Amino acid sequence: MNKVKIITDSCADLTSELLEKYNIDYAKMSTILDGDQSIAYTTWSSEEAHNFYDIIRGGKRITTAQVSVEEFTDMFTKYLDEGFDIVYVGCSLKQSGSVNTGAITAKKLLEGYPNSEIYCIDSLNASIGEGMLAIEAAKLAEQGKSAKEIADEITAIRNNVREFITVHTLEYLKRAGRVSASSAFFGNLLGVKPVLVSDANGAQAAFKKVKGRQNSMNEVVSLLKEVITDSENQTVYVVHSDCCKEDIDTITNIVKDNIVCKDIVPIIIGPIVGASVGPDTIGVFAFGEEITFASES
Amino acid sequence: MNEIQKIDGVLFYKMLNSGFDNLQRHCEEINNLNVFPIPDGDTGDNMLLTLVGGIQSGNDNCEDISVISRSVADGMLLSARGNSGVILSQLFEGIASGLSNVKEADWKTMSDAMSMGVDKAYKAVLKPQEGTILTVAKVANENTKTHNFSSVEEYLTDYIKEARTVLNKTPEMLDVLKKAGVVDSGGAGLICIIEGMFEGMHKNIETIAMPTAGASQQELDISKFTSDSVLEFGYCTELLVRLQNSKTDVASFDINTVTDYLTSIGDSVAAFKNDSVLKLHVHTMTPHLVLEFCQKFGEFLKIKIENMSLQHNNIEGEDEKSENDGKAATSDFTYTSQTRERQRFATIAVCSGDGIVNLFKDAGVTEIIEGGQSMNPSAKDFINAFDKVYADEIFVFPNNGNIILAAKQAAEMYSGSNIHVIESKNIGQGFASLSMFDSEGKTVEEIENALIEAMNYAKTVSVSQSVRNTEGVTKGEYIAFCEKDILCSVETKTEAAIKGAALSGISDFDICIIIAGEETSDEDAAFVEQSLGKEYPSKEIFTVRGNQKIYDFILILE
Repeated sequence: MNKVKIITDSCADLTSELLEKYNIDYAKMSTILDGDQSIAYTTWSSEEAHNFYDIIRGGKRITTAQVSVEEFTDMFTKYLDEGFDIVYVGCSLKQSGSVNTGAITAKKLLEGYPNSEIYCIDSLNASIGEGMLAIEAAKLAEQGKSAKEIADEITAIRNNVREFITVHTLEYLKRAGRVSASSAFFGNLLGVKPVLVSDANGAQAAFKKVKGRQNSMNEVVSLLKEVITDSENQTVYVVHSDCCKEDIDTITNIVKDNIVCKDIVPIIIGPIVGASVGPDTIGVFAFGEEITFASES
Repeated sequence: MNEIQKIDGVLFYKMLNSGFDNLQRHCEEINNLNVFPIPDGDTGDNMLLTLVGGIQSGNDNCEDISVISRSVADGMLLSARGNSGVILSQLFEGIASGLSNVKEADWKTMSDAMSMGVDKAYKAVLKPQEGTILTVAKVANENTKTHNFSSVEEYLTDYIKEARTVLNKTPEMLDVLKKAGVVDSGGAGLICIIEGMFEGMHKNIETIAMPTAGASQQELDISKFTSDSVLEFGYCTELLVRLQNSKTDVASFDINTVTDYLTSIGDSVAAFKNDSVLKLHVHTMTPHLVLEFCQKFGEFLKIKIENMSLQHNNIEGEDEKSENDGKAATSDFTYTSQTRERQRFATIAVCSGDGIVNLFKDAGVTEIIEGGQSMNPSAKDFINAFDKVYADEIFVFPNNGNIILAAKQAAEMYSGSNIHVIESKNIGQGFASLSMFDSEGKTVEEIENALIEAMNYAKTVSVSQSVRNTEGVTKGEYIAFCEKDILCSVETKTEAAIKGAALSGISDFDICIIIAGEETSDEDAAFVEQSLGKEYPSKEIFTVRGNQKIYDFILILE
């Protein structure tokens, strides 16, 4: 049995610390601004993140491109040559076509590596939700499990990733074509804050409406508290796209006051997910009961 | 002057027209009997428009009072608008019941009929308040029915006298009237009508009867339904049936058996019984079954059966947004446009002011009924909207407490959908509620509860200029009020808005939406936004141009 390398992509929002700690590599996507393409690093500094989101606040449109065939080829080849089997935990297919591109590239490549295996998994999640699955996969690899075992186990727990985020507007997501919501969630919301989840099919779906930012932050923590499992042994991730310090502190304290957990880790939403959700998004992630909600929109 | 012992249909109709004339003469006066010293009064208009609908449903040569009173009542039920209008329509509905067995009525029969009217009116209101039109109608009736009169004129004279007496007592019964220094407008309107009816007994009145609705059908291109066409939409079937004594017990004939049967073979069902005449409407694929069914108990006075697929094919390709989609069939009943898919949910809001209309459209409302401050929508306006949205569950958001009854009356009369009237008394409540509308994975009950909760949590502060002096208010000053309380009366509209917000407890809320009225400049609106923003930095404050009349500012606190 070959050793296993865990790979993810620019949507998983894994920081350099996490990538190093769990020995995970990631396939790069790109962002496009004014016709110029840049690589989407999730290891960026908070300053770089701030500048990025300010550009969006200023009204500029930043679009995204999925992982290219070349990128997959380079990355897969590198680890195949080192004798690894690969498990690629990829962004939800509802958000990016990368997993499919990865699968097609892998199939072709494996013709030249008859003793190796590559599994491409649709994580049904994005941002640190996807990252959490990659981390679990890395832990299983550390335990010496085979690529197939890891792929099966990760596939089985995808809907146990629970995400509750809240935004000021769904306009960015709507423009990016990456949200499932009825018309009741669009237009001038005037203080109504949508709460989004990653639904059972992997879509970013409007789940609830709450009035006011403070209420919405209370609500996302409350919703997570209802479904979190084994919280004392878990990390709760607080995720934001360049929110002000007050908001980050507020939500962190709400988590502290309401959920007993191992630790609370802040994550800045990376450029790919960020370009879709927009600035000032904030929310929480952890493992919990399986999500069954699937948006009808 | 010859005193009249009995009133027949022709005289009754003439009296009604005279009642209408008198109400029209005093309409402005009645509009001005409003509780807040601002020009938002429309009781006179509402009752007038309600009455007109009734008169237009009648004609001036029907001798049978049971028939004419029934036609008039049917018309008023549909044209009812505003609380006073709805109650007026229920009064006449009861009166029509009371007159259903006679061709002419003496004063006693009229008095008994009025008793039935009062009963019906009280039943129509969930929480009847004393000190309103209800009280005037009831007490005047109670104080007259025990007497003995020698003519209809004597009865009416006494009724009017008793009504005036109790009207003058209404400020003692309702604090808001006392504070405003006015008597109840609905009661005053009723008295105008009855006084006019009394006058009409001996005056020469020109009636305003309209020719019965029987406009010729638009020329249809019959080639649009060929030998290969599929009957997709069925037949719009309208029948007038005379119940026959030889076939059934006319008096005790139960209209519900008809409604039940029609509902089993079609939709858009409506059925009314006027004495021995049935009026039915249904959309069905099998009109022959309806004809067969009706002949079991009566014979036809009028038959109209139209191929709706042919109509649909004729209008296909026309602008989908045209308001009169499929109006080829003209009748008292509305035509349901079948060109759209039936939705599960729909929302309807009553709005006035183009900016406010946009605000609600932005919030995703399905359909808007224009109206509210100066022109309350009628029950029929609601019914038209229900038809237009074509959905299983419809949520209605009135923008005025005076509209809730008409919406509910329309809901009662409408069998095509489940109507949920959210009792929003102003646009602030309506918007606060509608903006939280969310049907994703929720039951109808959950949706409705969430809407009510959102409405109850919000507070609305309105600012308007006072048009008269009253307790604590000088004419020309700007008053800010919330629900039924006047919060302050100050020199400028901006001060009223800012002070009103503070006094309503803006500090307890997270969001403030400032809606600027037609008379409010952008600068004034910006000033209020900035001032509130400075004073309450943690709040989210939004400014919207509503362009509504009467209210210079509406602030929604959520």
